[in-house]
Amino acid sequence: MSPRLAPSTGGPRVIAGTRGAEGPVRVRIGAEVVEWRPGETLIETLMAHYYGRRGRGSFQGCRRGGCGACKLRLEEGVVALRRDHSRDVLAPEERACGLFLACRAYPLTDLAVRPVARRNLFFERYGRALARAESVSTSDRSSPGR
Amino acid sequence: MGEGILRLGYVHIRTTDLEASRRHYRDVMGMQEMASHNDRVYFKCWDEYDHHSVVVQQSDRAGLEKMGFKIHTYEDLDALEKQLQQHGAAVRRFSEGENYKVGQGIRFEIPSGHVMELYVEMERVGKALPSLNPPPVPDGLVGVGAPRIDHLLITSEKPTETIDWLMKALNFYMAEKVVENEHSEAPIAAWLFRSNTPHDIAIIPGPDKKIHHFAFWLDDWAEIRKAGDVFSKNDVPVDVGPERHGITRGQTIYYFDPSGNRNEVFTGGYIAYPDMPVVTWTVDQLDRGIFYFNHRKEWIEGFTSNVT
Ligand code: FES
Ligand SMILES: [Fe+2]
Repeated sequence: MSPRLAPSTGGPRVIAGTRGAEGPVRVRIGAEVVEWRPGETLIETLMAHYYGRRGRGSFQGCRRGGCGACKLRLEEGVVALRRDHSRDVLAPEERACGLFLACRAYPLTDLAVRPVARRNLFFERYGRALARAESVSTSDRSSPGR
Repeated sequence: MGEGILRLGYVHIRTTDLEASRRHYRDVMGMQEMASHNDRVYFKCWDEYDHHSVVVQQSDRAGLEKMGFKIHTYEDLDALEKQLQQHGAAVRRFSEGENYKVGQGIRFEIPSGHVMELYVEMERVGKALPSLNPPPVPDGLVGVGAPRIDHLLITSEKPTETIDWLMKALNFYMAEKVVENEHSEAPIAAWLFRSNTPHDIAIIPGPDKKIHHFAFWLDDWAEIRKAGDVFSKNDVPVDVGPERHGITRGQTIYYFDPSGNRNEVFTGGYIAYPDMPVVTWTVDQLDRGIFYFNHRKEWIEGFTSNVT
């Protein structure tokens, strides 16, 4: 197994790039840690080991940098982000603040990430008719692409 | 006046990776690459006879640049121009050649901010089949081998207004609509047509200017299965399907192109006539309306919310 890169110092960073670390790294998301392996995009790792498991919904985004469903906030570590993503769903300013798209990203070090809540206009308007239920809390929005 | 809008003529989309999109529309969908210059590639399907039906343009964003509807005559163009202006559209004329291989026409924004063009002529290149005593299919189809594009679905922040405007300003007919409950009239989503299929364009609630998907026609359900084989083999990210729509009675697979624009392969449905009674769906039955085989009653939230 190739050596794992040392945990990064100097705060989270999203840099331009098309490949990740040379060996597996650990990605902390919520209360779980999943292992990323070279060759995968980060969303491939999360779809295989995080989403659709232990009560979480399946991941439903495009996996091609267009829809923004996979947007994550980087809390620790360094990721390489490919250029081929839509600036409509990840503006350069957002990237500078540590947001990135998991489907266009490869970890360069161990990471800690947090999903970003998204709006769903359809549900905001018609959710009540759809579900005949009202939510009592709007603060618990912990998974993306749902 | 002739017959107004004939059909959806072209979908002009943006990509963040032109080469990957070229491979997708050419090698996976089996379209013919008709021209490629500057930042654009022009494609047509084998059963189409005008120069192109899909334009892909390099950009730093995904999404819909514009959509073109072919209309019958130049008298229709003049009449629709006046009608559009009466409904508040800022209409601009474009000249022949301003759009590659397309004749003169008009360009305007619909209330949801999407750019639409109407034109009468595009260079005719003919089908991949002869017009005299043709065989039913051409040789050498690649990948899915889609015969033609079929429709597109856009999102609108004020869908009821956009639907009403399309029907009044452009004479679209309504095949099906979604209303909030059995007592409400106002459509919050609608499937509109000018040709003879249940939809040439559909509108659902969502952000303005965005596209939910555009669709390729396939001849039958078995072709949908074959398309699924091609998608899996080529690692095309499938969104939903194979499935059956309650709305339009179509059969479908949804998938994404290389920059995340959603595509669909679609077959089935029925012949739509302007005097057909409108089919109405209430929101509480929408899970079945969208995906009829969805017995888990799962609301596939990403399917309605993810757009480009
Ligand atoms: S999943 Fe659509 S942008 Fe990543
Ligand atoms: Fe469709």
